[in-house]
Amino acid sequence: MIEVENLCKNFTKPILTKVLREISFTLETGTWTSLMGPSGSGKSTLLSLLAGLDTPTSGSLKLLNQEISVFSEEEKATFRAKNLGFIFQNFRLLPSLSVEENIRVPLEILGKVSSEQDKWVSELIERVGLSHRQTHFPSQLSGGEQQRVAVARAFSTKPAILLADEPTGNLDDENSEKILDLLSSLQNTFASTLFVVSHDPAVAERAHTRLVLHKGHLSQEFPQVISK
Amino acid sequence: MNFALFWFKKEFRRPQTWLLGLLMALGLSGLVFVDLFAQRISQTAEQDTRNFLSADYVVRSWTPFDQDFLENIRKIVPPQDQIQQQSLMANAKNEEGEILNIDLKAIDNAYPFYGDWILKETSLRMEDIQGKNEAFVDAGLANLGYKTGDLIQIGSQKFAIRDFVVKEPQSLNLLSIGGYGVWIHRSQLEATGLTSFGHRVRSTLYIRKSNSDAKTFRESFRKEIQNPNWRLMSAQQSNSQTQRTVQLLKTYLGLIALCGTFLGLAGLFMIFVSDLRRRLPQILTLRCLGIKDRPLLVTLLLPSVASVFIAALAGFAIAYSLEERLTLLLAQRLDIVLSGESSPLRGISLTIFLGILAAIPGLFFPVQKILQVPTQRIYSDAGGSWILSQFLDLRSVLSMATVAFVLSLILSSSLLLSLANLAGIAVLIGLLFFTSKLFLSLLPRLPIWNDFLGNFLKRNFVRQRERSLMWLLSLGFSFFFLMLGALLTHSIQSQLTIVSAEGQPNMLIMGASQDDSNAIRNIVPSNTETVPYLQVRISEINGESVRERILKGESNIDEDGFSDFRVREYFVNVRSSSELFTGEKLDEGNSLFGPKLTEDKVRVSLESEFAERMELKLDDTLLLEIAGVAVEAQVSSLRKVDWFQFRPNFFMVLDQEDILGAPLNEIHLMRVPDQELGAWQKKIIGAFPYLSTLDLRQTRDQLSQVVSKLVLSVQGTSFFLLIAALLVLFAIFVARRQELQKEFALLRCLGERSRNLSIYLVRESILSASLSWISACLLALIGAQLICTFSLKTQFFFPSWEILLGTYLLAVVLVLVLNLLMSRRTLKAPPQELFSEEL
Repeated sequence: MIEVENLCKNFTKPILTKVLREISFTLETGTWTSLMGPSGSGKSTLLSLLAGLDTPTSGSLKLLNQEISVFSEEEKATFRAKNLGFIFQNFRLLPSLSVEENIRVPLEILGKVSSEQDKWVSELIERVGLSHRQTHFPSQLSGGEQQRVAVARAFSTKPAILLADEPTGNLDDENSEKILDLLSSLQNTFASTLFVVSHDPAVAERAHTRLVLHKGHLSQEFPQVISK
Repeated sequence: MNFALFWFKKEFRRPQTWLLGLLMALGLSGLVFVDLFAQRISQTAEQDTRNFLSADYVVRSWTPFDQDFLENIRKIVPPQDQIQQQSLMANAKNEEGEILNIDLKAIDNAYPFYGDWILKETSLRMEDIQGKNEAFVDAGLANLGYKTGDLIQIGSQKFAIRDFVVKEPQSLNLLSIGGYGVWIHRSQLEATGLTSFGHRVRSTLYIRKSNSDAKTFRESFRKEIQNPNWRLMSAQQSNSQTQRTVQLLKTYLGLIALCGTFLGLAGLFMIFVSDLRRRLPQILTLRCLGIKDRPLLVTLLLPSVASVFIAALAGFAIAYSLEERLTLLLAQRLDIVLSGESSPLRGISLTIFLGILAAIPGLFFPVQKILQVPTQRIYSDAGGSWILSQFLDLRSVLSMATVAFVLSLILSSSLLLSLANLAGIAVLIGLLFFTSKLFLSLLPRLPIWNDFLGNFLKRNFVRQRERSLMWLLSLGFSFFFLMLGALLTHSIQSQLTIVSAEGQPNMLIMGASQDDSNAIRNIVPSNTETVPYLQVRISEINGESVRERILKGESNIDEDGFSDFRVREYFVNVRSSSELFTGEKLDEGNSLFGPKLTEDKVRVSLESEFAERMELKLDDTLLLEIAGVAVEAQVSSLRKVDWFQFRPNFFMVLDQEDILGAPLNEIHLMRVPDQELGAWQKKIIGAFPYLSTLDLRQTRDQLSQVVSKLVLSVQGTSFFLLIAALLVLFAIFVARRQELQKEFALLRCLGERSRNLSIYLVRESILSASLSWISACLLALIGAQLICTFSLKTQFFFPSWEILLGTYLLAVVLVLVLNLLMSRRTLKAPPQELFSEEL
């Protein structure tokens, strides 16, 4: 469950910019929501606030019934480790780790190291179609392959909420489709709440619902409570 | 060019450019200052040797100058350019009966030629006390409460103090032993009666060079100075101990300046790497916009070269403007007044050279290489290792090495030293590289830190090989110079340390015959040490007459065209066993004297440097004159002597077994309570008025003052090295910051806590500092040993474990503090802010 109420975010440098203006919405568990909007509308900013990567100027932000806007950085990190998965537009894999090791990172952070976890990681690698590349390093992978690793990493802890920022933004159509299929499949398996920022219509079509951000405001065309 | 200028103006407005420029300026100003200071020290030392002698040439003899000699000298030197002096060590008594050790100098009018002393009443001259029982005395006596008009008894004559002699302010007065100086007119010497007591009286002739051509003067002067009883010194020579100490300081300063140069270049290099890495996205954008390579090259080089050049000029300006103030401060702290002037032209040349020529080769070749690569290749690189490898281009390395070499030449004016330093640096980098690679290969097997972050740390080190190597190499390079400074400082300080007063002799009696010594032993404390010695002259060396060689002009020639040391009379120590004194070390030979030789041959041990000057080796033969008897001697061993040990040291040592029956004199070294010293001197002089006694406390105090000044200088210059190393470390960390920020922001995104990441940093600091310190320490030990042995010509003292541990802890703390400071924001700020900064 994601509850956002009157969320605002302003940037003060170089000049005062109000990126998000009193955003409010609620997402039920297990839904796939797509956030769209033109460039500069505040999509990535909203996503980073939801992930606790940034601090809102004002407003309330509740994830899984916890008010994360008042969390300290350490508390946010702990919350992310336990409950969130994140997929970046530019993959952000650790260059010194192999495919398998990159996927394991969230599990290692949680301290989940066991043979069962090993089995689970192998399963994930197979599911994303990278069994033949598991010992390779990010610099040896194509863009599509790197994004698949990122997807696998995001799902490794079976998170309740998965946030994705333009997951297909750097990919061609074929790879984009593959990624979306993967997201769909994994989301169905784990019943995660999926929140995807994208301007790609193909992404929006896959979603249960769409939110549109325009000049910092959520469009009033769509319902404010989204359910499956 | 318009675009290049536009870009240049934009770059120069960035605060980072100014910050880097400021750091470079500070670093370079330190370097330039050390060079300016070293020049002044060098000029002061040269000036001082002239002042020290008070003349251009000095002839010294333990026998009076005969009239024939004096008349011949008058033919080439006008009477007004010659002064005769007779001097001797003696004891004087004040009105309370207290004994004073004095260095009595009975001298003609016109002394000094070049002013090695100044009287408080500056209008007074020597002729003002001619025919009077008056004396000029050392200003040190004023500090003891003596005033003008006070009477002191010298021998059987009382003299009134006329005035005090103060130190010449432009003099680098390093050492003065032998008691307080007392100057009387030569006409008054006989009245003291001292010459009839058997005191050794030294005759000195001071010569001021005539206006004739220098070469002609030297040749004609040399023809007259053939008497083997005489010792010649010229203004280029000086007391060897003083020269040695000054040379030590100059060499040390020069070395520090050179080390600082290399550190500075390393720092510049790191700044260039980080700067270029930061500008990679700009390069990509500009290329995509269609800018051609040549204008792009200029665009990239211009800001860096300009910033280095401006920083260098600023550095020079800072150093030059502060030079007078800083040297004054040093003079107040060290009591050293510097003469001479530093050369702005030299400083400006150094600056221009650093500014332009250092920047160009360092940047030009790597940038040119990068521009030859397809744009996409740059895109796909994480910006990390690949760009570093471009800087390891052979042309770039060779050109930086050439720059470093030419810089060394400017600073040291010594081709040999510059080549040796360059070779040393190349070997250093090679060895650091090798040890770093070795450590990286062993790292995965390290049986500690087996949690996620620990394994991540080890993997990072091993898998990002080039980055890790660069990191370890840079740390090792900085630590090497830190360690080198610490080790050299420790060695020089140990070399210069005077044995503590407690337990050491505080009074010396000299000139006692064996009969006197037997009587002295009944008076002095039982713990008095006796050192027997003989007076010896060398007649032949390996069958060749010393005098013949001089007459032929073939003997050791100094730079001024004179020889002196072979004809001297030497005090030779006589020992009854093969035991070495404290501060002596066998250099060649199995023992001090070896097996006994034939009946008519004696064994002699020589001091190593003395033997080198005499061109003598092990088993060479000498013909010695001992009390008028010719004795054949064979060199049985060579010894290294620590001249800074506070005890009598000798160039030559004979075995007592070989010269039974020879007339020996003895030095007695006594230790008595300080408050009883005066009473003891009175007692000894009362019983043996013709002997010389020396209050060693005074000598030790004087030496202590000198040593403490030198130690301060050494510490100061080592501090400079520390600062330079810190600046380089800072530059290294600046270069690394961006990579660390990316990784840490991502890990925090994935849920890792900042606290754990701090632990990661602590582990990384300990690991990298330890690995680098080990290699740096090993190499610095080797380097310091080589520098002490071949460059400074001093003994290398191995540091204690406390010093080693201390430097290790310093290295770890430095890296840790810098790491944590540079990562503070990365650990605290919201990850999104850190991601945004990448743009």
